[in-house]
Amino acid sequence: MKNMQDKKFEHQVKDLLYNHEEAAPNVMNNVFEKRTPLYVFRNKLILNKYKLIAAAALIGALAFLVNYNLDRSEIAEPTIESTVSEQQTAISQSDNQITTNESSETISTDIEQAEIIKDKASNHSDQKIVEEQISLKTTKGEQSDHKSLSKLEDANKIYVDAKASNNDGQLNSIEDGKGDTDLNTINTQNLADATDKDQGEVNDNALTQKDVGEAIAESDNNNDNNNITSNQENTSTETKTDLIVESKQDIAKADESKSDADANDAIGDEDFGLPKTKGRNWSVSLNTLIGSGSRNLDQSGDIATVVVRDNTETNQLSYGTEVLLNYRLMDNLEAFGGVGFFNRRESMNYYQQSMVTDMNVTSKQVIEHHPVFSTRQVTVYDTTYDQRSVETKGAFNNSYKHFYVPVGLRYTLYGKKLGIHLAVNGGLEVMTKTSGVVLNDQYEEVVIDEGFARTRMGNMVGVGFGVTMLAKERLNILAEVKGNFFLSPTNSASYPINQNDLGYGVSLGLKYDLK
Amino acid sequence: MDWMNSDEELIRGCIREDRQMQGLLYEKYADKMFAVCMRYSNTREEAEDVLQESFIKIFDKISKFRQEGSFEGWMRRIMVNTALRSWDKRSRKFEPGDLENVAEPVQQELVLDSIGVKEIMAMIKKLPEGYQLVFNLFAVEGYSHKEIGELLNINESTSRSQYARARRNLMTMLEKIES
Repeated sequence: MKNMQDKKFEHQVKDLLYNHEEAAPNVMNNVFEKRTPLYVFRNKLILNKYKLIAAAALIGALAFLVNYNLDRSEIAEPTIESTVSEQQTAISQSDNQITTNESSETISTDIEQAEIIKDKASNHSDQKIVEEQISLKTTKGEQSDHKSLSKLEDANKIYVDAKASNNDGQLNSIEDGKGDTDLNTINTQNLADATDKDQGEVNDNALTQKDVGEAIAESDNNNDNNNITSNQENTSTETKTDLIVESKQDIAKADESKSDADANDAIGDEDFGLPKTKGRNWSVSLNTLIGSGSRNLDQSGDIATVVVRDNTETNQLSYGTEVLLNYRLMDNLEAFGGVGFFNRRESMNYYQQSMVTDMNVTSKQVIEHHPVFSTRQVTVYDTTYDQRSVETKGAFNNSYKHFYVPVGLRYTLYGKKLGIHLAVNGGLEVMTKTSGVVLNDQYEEVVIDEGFARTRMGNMVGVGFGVTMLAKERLNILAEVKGNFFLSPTNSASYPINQNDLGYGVSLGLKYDLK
Repeated sequence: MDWMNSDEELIRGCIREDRQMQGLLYEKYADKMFAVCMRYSNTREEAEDVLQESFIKIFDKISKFRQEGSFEGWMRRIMVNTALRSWDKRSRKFEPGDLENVAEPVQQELVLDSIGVKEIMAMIKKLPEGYQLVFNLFAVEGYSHKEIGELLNINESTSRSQYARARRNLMTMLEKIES
């Protein structure tokens, strides 16, 4: 019975109190926002990491697509188009030479070329080819050169076929009247231009294909001093085979002559993407970084200060620059060193509302009637308490400047148009300068000037991933996603918590190849 | 005020650290939790501190909440634990009240219907601090004496005796009010 009464009492108490509500202060929610900035900071950091990865992936995808599209355009080209410029074809009849420069008239296919050559050969079969100049435009990359030379070989075959067949057609010369000359001229500019179209952007690789002419001359000798008649068709196959073999030898010679052409400073003389084997190992680059920054506050320190600072500081647009001297160590590997500067900017805003209790003591003199001691004057004190809200706020722009000396390596994978590179560097942070205002754990303003910044040298690391594009002779454009991590605390040892800055963003720059 | 949000939605939002959801959760439960804090605190300011600390813990640990039990009960436990930690910092030691001289209540059955919450809370507040803790934990929150012993670092029997004395004292006070 007593237990039942006990339980009834407890139930009654529980019913009364368990779901009882007291009006909680509304201001609390604002307090939580101030007290939980760590999560916000963490989220921002994670978000920025994702942005960084996404940007890197985007750059990589773009680089791949550019290269892929180039390859596709190469494959999609169904015929070889050649371009012949009437204006730039000069024939020197007196020397029995024809100098071929540029062309503007388009001739469509190899077949047409073959017809021209065949006609020329048949019409002037009794004449000796003195000299041929083939201006061959090759693309960047050895493979492309081989393709070009392979086309040249094909063209030679066609030409020899034409010579051997010894048709009596009339020469459709590139210029009117050329057919009346005693010259055998072969304008192989069309072949070069065909290669040019085939390969996209090209470098002029002036290649004197004298050997081809010699081969043809030899062929002519084999055919009884260039007297090719229709009866000689049976022997043409043999002649053709010999010439193909010799043309191959000529191609090998052409490869050798290509390296000589490298000495030429013209932009088209070099295969972009492939490291130069001699000279120009040194280059200088200027990069500008635009992005954001962040900082990590050591939470093992004064956590109250960490909370207050995380709550009141917001990252702003930050920037930096680097001047680097690069040296090519291997085909794809460069070492670099130089000087760098990064300015991490942030805004510090705070708004604090606090309750202040004012105690007011008033006194007054009253006359007290006492039954024994008659009347007397006494002092009566009255104390009142007034609560009032005090608001304090402030807004400041903070700056954390880092001056450093980076030394690192850059590895580049070269494509046809773009190179994709990954660069990592360490470095010495030689100077740190800070300015602005932060709060301490009591929401009091602390000026971050010389006393705040670290005075000793520190360490840093950097990493960048991006693309390199050839803009002009010797001049490259760099674009990369870059991050700098300053490993040593920005603050001096006297500050209660350690602050490590980091900066990240998109770095754009120019790189100039030195001699 | 959006009361349409279920606990599940609020929890999901708070796990995402969505400020709005955190605010809604606070709005929904703050008054009830503040009453809990008030029962274990000497002053309103102290209760506010406990409430604030508790909600920060809730937002921090909400991802660890298993949807097996009552969310409100889970929050309430955090409130109680935080309040006890605050009490521990303040008092450092559990001091059982000395009410040996309190007379046994004559009336064994009391009707609390006529008594308001404020009155019963005021009466509880008049009890020695140790009695208050044990009474609130056992009678209101539903902790067992064993759990109370572990929470307050006292023997289970001490908890029982403290509760019995607190209850007896309360009933005596109720008798006085009724008379």
